Amino acid sequence: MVFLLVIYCFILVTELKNRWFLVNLMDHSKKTENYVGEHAIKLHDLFLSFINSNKREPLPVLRNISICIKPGEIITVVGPSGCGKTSLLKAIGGLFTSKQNNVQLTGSVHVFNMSAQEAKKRGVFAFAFQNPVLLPWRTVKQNIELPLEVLRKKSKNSDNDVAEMLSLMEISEFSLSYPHQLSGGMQQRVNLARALIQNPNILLMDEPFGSLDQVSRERLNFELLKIHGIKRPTIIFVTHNLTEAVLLGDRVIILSNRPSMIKEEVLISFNKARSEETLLSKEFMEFLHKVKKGFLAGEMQK
Amino acid sequence: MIRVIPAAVFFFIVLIFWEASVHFMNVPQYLLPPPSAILDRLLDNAPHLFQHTVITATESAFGFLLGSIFGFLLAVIFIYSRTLELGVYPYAIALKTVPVVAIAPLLIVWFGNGILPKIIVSAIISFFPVVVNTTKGLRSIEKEAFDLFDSMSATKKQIFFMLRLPSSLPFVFSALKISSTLSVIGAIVGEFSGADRGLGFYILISSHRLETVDMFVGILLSSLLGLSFFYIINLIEKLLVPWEPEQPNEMI
Repeated sequence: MVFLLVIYCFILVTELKNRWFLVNLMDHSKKTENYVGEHAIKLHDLFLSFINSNKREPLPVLRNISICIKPGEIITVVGPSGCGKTSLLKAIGGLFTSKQNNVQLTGSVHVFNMSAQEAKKRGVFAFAFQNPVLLPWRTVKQNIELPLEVLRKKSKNSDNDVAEMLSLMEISEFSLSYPHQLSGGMQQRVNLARALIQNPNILLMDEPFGSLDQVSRERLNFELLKIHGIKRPTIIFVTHNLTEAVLLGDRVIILSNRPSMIKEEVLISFNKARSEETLLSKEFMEFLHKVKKGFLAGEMQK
Repeated sequence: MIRVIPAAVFFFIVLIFWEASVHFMNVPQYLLPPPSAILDRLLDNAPHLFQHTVITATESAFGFLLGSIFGFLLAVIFIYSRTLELGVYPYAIALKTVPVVAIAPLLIVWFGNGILPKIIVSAIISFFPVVVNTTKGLRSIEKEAFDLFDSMSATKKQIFFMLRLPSSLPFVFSALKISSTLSVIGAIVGEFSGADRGLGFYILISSHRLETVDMFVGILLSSLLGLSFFYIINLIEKLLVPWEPEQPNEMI
């Protein structure tokens, strides 16, 4: 037991030392800045493979991905399931670190002329995953405040921001509820609110509305467009729903089967601002058809 | 409250049946005393019994605290060091497979007749469920939750206190509930192996004297002790883990 105590003390001391170092590092890096530049995101020749320790051959997931994304643009990404859409988001968001030896990443990722990791440290990104991952011990309000606490930005001012966000997402009345008391749609609203409270320059969304019924999904799509109109973040939105992709995107990127590359890029533009009516318009149908054709193009050959 | 009624009614039915059968079949008191005799003895001897109960309660409480704290810390170390986990975890399990009844006399030899060896027996027996469940709890986290914290560049400390620790709490408490009752067993077993006070001592002495009534009193008090520990932990859980929807209590 004495032996264990000694080990524990040792671990504690090393940990404390690391933390001191990290805290010093963080204070400099975590400041909100508004980044400008021609490109929010610039990918060049991105290749990504997973290295499975059981097999010798690495599993290629992404190949030859090059794309430039302007600030404020909404890019929707579609592709067959398991094609590496999520991996693309993670690569852009700097979630694959060089420390992880099961991932091989080559090519370049530039985010406002920084590396992905650097951008992540500076709080450029916010993620919204398909699984809302709300912390069950926190109320809705506390869940939304989580990023502020992690980034040490919680203050009296931020209380107003949270209240504003709650009313923007129309979840004020649930602010004191626990996640398990909410419906799937409500949980996704909280998920979105938690991402938006970080005031990100870039919002990375991985099928956030994938598990919702069509009515809730459409409603949230329009909420997202409304918020985009106010805050103008750059959004990369992965989805498997083509209607959603066309409704939201300024551009739709169609990925091929794994190892995926960009098969086609469809530019979307409407004469009027996007609304419920857009969904019924002829141009919408044409775009949808085009995306669908692009989506199926590779599959036909099989 | 309504949920308690069936249990209470059943309890009284059993008592009445017990009392009646002892009276009508003339069972001698040294074999099976009626509940009324047990209650009489309990009330007559209250101050004396109270002293024994306090001793056992102290031993169990300290053993429980010691075992749980060590178990918890070890689980935390396991999370951060795979090597230590691989090296130590098998022995933590091996400790469980050694019968406590077998270790207790040895501890009496080492640490004497006092309160310490009982605390250690009690700690050993409380330790195991806490290590296993806490390790499981600290690990039972969705991969996406780590991605979420990673995307915010959270520090290791933040991940531990804001993510791992709270998600482990339901697991920790289900372990503590098991340990709380086990710790009383540990203390009693310790007392069986050599003691001059405590409920275990009281039961053993009564057995030698064939004082069955006293034995029943001892058994009753030790189970009440275990029960009250259990409900104290249950209460603390309700206060600390208010988000968890009502779940059935698991027992090993």
